[in-house]
Amino acid sequence: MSSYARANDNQYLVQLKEQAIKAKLSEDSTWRALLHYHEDSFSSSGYSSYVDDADFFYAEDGDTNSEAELLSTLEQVFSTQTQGNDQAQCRFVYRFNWLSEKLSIDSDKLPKATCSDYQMWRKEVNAYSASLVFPASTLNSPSSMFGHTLLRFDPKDIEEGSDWLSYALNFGANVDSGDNSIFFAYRGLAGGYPGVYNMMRYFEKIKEYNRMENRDMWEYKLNLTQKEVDLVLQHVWELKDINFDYFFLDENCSFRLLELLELVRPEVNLTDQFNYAVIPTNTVRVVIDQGMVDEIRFRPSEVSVLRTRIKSLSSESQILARELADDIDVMERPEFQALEDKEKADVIQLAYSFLRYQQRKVQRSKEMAKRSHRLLLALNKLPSEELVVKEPASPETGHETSMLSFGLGERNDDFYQQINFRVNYHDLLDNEQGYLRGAQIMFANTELRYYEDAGLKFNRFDLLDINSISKRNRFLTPLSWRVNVGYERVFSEYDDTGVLQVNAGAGHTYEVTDDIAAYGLLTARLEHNKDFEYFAEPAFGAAFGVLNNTTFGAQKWDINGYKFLNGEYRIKGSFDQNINLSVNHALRFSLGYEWHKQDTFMEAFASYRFYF
Amino acid sequence: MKRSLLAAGFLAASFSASAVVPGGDSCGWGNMLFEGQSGLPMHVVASTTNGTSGNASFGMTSGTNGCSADGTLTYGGKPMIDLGAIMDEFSEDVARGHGDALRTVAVALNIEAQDRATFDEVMHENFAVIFPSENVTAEEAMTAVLDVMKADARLSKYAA
Repeated sequence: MSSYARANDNQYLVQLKEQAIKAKLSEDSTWRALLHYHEDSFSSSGYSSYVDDADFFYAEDGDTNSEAELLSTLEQVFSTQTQGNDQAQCRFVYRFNWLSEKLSIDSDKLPKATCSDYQMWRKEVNAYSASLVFPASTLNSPSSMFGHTLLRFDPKDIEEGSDWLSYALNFGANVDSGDNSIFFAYRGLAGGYPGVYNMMRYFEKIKEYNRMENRDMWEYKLNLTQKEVDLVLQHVWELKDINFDYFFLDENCSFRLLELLELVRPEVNLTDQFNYAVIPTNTVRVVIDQGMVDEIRFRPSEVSVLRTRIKSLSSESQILARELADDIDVMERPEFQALEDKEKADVIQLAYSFLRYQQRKVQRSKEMAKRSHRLLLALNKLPSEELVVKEPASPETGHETSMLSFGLGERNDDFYQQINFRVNYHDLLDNEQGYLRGAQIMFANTELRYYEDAGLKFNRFDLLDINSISKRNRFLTPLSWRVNVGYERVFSEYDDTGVLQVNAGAGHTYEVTDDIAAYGLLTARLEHNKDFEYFAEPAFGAAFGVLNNTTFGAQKWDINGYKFLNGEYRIKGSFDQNINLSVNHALRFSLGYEWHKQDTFMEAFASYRFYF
Repeated sequence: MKRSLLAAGFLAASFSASAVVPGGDSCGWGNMLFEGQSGLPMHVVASTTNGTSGNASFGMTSGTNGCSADGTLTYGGKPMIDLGAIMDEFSEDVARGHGDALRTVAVALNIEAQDRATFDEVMHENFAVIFPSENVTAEEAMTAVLDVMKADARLSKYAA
């Protein structure tokens, strides 16, 4: 008789427990996955659960003791103390089914439990197949920069359009609404929030991402069998209202979804591929690499649709549409009346779409609502065609997120070799396939140089470097901005000095052609430099440039200058050209000329870049 | 008091932290069509976190308003998805005679594939009936949709 047997256990339960102990069921990988265990050197058992919620465990030490939790679950399955929906058979459906199968439990000897909540929920969710959904990042929302992933469950007879009614499963931090973004980022990294799963109609997610946040959505239909989909839902039910630890970088939305997929298809290897940070694009890539994706669908954001509408019209029609959005009487003008029906419809549609776009951010105004309604009334009497938004390359076809480069350069007749390592993600000149044009986000970018005369030098370290080049037009007027924090080496007359600095800028970008954008920004900088009198000296300046995205690689012409309050100034003109060899290989050439108060410098550099 | 962050992103949902009575006045109805957004700072936080707030839904309750226990509402005695949440998209699709929102409503009304084109056409022709002014409520619009369907030989059976 094992010590786990209790006086009130029936004989059959005792027998099952012993059987489970003997078979070492609690060491089974599925059981451990069900409890979300991971290796943990701080735990006496060597592992602990990601779940941070007493409601998820029957055993006192269930979060670190696999066997105790298994035996306690068995006891609860046979318990007559709890009834109906609270019975273990109903609360932990997957666990119960799994134990039943492994131990060949005789269902006649079990207490009857009717799981009405679970049954109703399964009927409501009506899942036959599943898709992994990836709302891509958007230029002016740094918090979206790595994207997000969720799962969508579709019924058997899913048709084009009715997926709005499907259910989406989302894992996210459960936050206090009082927190602002910065504080969130800090707490998210530090693990100050619990994470929870929730489910809602997919149209709510479409509105949230496509509309409110202007993020394109990518939907990857998974080849999960109906059985596997059933298992995912069985387990998701177990996680209803259960809190997990939530960390922004690793135990985030993407990691949780990978766990779910691994649970139902143990032969794939998903979560092990991430050591320190789970970036959602890489999630998608891993799932594709493991052969789990059947097809890919693109769902453009409202702003992508708007940009497509703008581009499809002549300049005259664009001007009319822009004026019509503000003044309904534009429809009475002779130049509008002279248009063909189809052109009229396009102009009205663009004016309406633009109004809706503006409405996202403002309180309802009676007058604007009236104009919107009148535009629809007019549109209703004209022919209308479906708009097709050109599908860009999907995110997972882009370059890998880490980068290593080797280069040779010359600075004022001094030759050097350079190694450059970037933890992630993308800069303005990297191959744009699968990325958003004009969006640069870099974390932990390090340059080491070896000079022929001066030896090894730590040249720069960018902790964070964000650059957002967003084109403006008649309708859309986004701000372009940049932020950079890090260490860099500043060269002066006789010497070079390592300085810590933070700089930022804001301004406008205009479209010259489809592929050429010209930007201008006002900038400010704060620098800690041992040669300066004060601990930190501020500087102000401006930057102008042109970004040209050619088919073989992007190029940038840039002139950037700033002057410190102490009179020191630096101006740098540069030309950079990227040559895309393939998705994960590139060459980069740069030429720079610098004017400082005391001196001028010339620099030329060529490198090979590899993304992994 | 916590409130649903994501609700800030929903057009027709007048979500508030106050308790709502099923079918009551604050149940997402009585909202104006062409509603604008408010509470943008809230939204920024929500989007930063991919997050939810206290009352996470689980497909059992409507995420946009607290109208009902199972996310459905009743139209003419038939349980149906809360259309208040997509009324905005729906009005545009009705005006044009095509689109995802129109298809979604057709599916929610159990309209069979062979009658979808008819549904689109009938809705399109009756835009001004369904949306007579910018102040129409979602409930009024929905009632009009069903009335228009009842008047059509092929669609009447779905609105019975």
